[in-house]
Amino acid sequence: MSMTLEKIDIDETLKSLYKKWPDIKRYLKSKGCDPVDADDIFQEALLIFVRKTEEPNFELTVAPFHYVKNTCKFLWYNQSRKQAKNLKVEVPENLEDFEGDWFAKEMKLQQIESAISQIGTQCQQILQLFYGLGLNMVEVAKKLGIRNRGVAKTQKYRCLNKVKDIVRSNNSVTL
Amino acid sequence: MSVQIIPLHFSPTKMNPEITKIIDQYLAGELSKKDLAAFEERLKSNPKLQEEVALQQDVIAGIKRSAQRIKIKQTRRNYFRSRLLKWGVISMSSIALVGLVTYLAVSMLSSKIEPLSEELMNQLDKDAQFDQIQAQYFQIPEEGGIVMSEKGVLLSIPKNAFLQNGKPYNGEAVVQFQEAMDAEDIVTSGLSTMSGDRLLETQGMFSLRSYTKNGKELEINPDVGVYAQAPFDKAKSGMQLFSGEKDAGGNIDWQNPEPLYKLPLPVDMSELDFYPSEFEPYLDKLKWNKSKKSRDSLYLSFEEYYNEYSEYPFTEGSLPSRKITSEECAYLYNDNRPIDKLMTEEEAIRLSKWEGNPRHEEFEGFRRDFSEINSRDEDYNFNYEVGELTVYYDSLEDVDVVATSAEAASNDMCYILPSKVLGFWNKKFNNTNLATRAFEKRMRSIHPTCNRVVLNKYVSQLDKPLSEIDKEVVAMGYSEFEKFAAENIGKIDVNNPHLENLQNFYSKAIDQLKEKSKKNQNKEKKHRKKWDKETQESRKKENKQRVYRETQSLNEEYQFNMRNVERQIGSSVGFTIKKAGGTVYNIDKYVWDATVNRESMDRIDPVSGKRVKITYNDFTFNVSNHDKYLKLYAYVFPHELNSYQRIEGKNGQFSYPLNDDIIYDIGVVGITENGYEYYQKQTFKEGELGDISLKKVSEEQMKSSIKQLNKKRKGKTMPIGDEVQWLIRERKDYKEQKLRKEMEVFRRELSKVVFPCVYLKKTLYFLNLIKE
Repeated sequence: MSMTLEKIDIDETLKSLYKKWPDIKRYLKSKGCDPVDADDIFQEALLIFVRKTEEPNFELTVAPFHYVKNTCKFLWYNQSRKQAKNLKVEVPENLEDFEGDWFAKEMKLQQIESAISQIGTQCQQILQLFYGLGLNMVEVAKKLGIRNRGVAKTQKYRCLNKVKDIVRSNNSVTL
Repeated sequence: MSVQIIPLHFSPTKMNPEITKIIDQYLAGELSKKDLAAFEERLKSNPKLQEEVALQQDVIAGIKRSAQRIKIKQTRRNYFRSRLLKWGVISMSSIALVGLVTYLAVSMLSSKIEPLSEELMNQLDKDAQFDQIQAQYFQIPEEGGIVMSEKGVLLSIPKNAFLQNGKPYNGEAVVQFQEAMDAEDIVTSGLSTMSGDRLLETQGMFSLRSYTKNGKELEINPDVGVYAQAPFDKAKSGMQLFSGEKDAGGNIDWQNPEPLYKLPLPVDMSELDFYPSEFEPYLDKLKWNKSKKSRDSLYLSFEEYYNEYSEYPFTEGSLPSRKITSEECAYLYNDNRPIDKLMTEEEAIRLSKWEGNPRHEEFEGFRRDFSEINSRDEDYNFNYEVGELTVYYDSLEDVDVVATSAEAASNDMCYILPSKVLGFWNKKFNNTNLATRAFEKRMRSIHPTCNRVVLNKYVSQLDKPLSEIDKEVVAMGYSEFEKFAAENIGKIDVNNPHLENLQNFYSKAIDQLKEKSKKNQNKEKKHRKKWDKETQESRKKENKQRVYRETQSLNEEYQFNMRNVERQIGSSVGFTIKKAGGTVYNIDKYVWDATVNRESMDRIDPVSGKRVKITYNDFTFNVSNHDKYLKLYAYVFPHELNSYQRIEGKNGQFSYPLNDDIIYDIGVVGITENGYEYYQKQTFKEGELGDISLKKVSEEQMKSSIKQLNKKRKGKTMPIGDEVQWLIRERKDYKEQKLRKEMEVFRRELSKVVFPCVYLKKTLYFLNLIKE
């Protein structure tokens, strides 16, 4: 994770962004998105925002809410295009921002995330604690009540394998 | 740890699980030097392995991402939780309350609290009062909080709401709450609705017990209390709060009924509107500046409104002490009914300007001091016509109070001063009765009473339930407050030192606001005085200049004509032969007369017998669309002279006799509200220009064109800079006067909104006149 000189307080920003959820929901609804999808899209947009802010060279040129809203616009644009629904989709501003490699990668990672969500809860926790939050194996074992670090480590590899298998089979299906 | 590289056998979908471990170590930089070299060697040549490494990298990135998502989910949870609480707060105003005791500042539940343990809940369940009903548990942090039950009962638990061993308990508390809010719950719980041997009609029952974190029971602190609000659409009348006593058989007997109060809903001051009810809509209609700050200051500017116009600080002399005549009444009010009252100062001021008044001379000795500015020759300035917009004011002294109530009978009380309102409309008064929707509603009814005593009752009695004050106001004779009294609204408690602070603050705030209002008003007055003085200076200067110029012009032209005549006679002129008894003018006199009257002259010089001729020919033109100009001036520059002439047309028509022996340039300036239009023609003698149209020019262009026409003549031309400055000033003054007039009209209209009774009285007054 990179350090930026001016680090925005991401927790506070998220909180204030969430207050605008009804606006986003209303907006997406007006574009033909149902509330469940809207919820997912909004969370995805927030996640993208958080990740974007952690990019080393990222500079936010618009208000966070504007960024998030535009991302929602794009995500819904993307989704409805994929579903080939002829909906009242509005092409987002700065479409090119979303067409780059970074964004393609995000979409790929989103697929992987859905693979992760298919494995067991403890498995997910091990991986998230270790890779996501950067705890060491001793801490992970302690936190999850696993007997020792060795067991946790073996489990970690098993969990990784599970995810990889799901991703691989998904890929071969889509291929 | 050294790892032996296992030969890699790949199948498209199955992978040796062991490879995951090796890639993991590789990515984490944990491979030994030897192993790393071997791995990299293999990686280079093996696309499958490359793919596998890429996949694993992606998976790890995906895991990171999914971990970040946890934070988003947390935010989402917190949002929905806080929204739930907020919803509870918002709905407070619309639902009836089963409530008691106190309410303090709203604080949200902190999310940091560790969840309650299963065991504690099981243990506390045994204590529950209502057997068949699932208990709900709430954790309340030390600073207090608001929670809402499943059935929508809102519990507000302030700091120190509980006692442990008789002393205020500091620390996290656990509240056990059971509710039987509808008939079904009440039946399944087997709860009785008996009070002694009377059957009660119920709108709900609940039990609330409190514990320490460790399950030790706490008591409710009677000095602070817990405020509960139950979700009824409408409280049935006569509902009271009973306390339940459980007897040995487990039956509950309901005792000690207490009346229910609705608590007013605290709202931030910034969200409330205490202006007179028409104030905002009126300004919105005019698209007036939306900001609270400027609206406040506009409202405050009415603080001195009546003082301002009842004093008439500029008047001097004495006004005619009589009633106005029917002509005067028609002039003032478009109505020929004589008013049965002595003439007011205001009327006198306006009448003094009416020259068509048969009794006009009676106003000679009575003028406002700025009338001096206005009284100058109307041809040479363009004052905003006072008669165009009739502005009149009631002075407070003239107005009797509308007898809508017994106590509003004193003049002093017939309006509510802005400072009294703005004084409490301040965040310092948050969390008092005043910062509530309930009071906002009352304020809408307080303004129309115009009685500051009514307002004071609410502002000075922050420690009383609103409904009690409502009743006091009803007792003053304002029956319209009965509907408020019937709402049974309680009070927001503030501790007494705080209360005293607020009252001090209020009186100080009023003083400050009054001062500010005075200051603003003085500033405006000063500005106007200064402006008027400057305008007056400019006019004085212009006046002097005009006299000088006209004299100079005449002299110069006379000199010119004399030289002309000299040429015609061929000898010097200047002596006179006087014959006794006759009125023989010498030629000088004829030339003088011709020059002054600008008329042609054709006669025989009595001395030389030669014919002398001076010819003046009319020069005329029309300015098209003359209506759009405030003023039209033509500047005539004779080439042979140093002075110039300013002529003013009538309805756009100009006519001016030009000397046939002089060549002229002309510049026509049209002054409009928004700027200048200009036309010029050079080097001509006489004749008709016909219709001319002016073209828009900037102030600078106008200035330089005129100056250039002036300068390009031969000789030492008369400076014209001051003249142009005067023109510019007059235009600005016209705008200033117009703005003032508009401001006065705006303020007069708005004052009806700010002080409704004064104008109501006025309307009634005229209605009565018509009835008579």
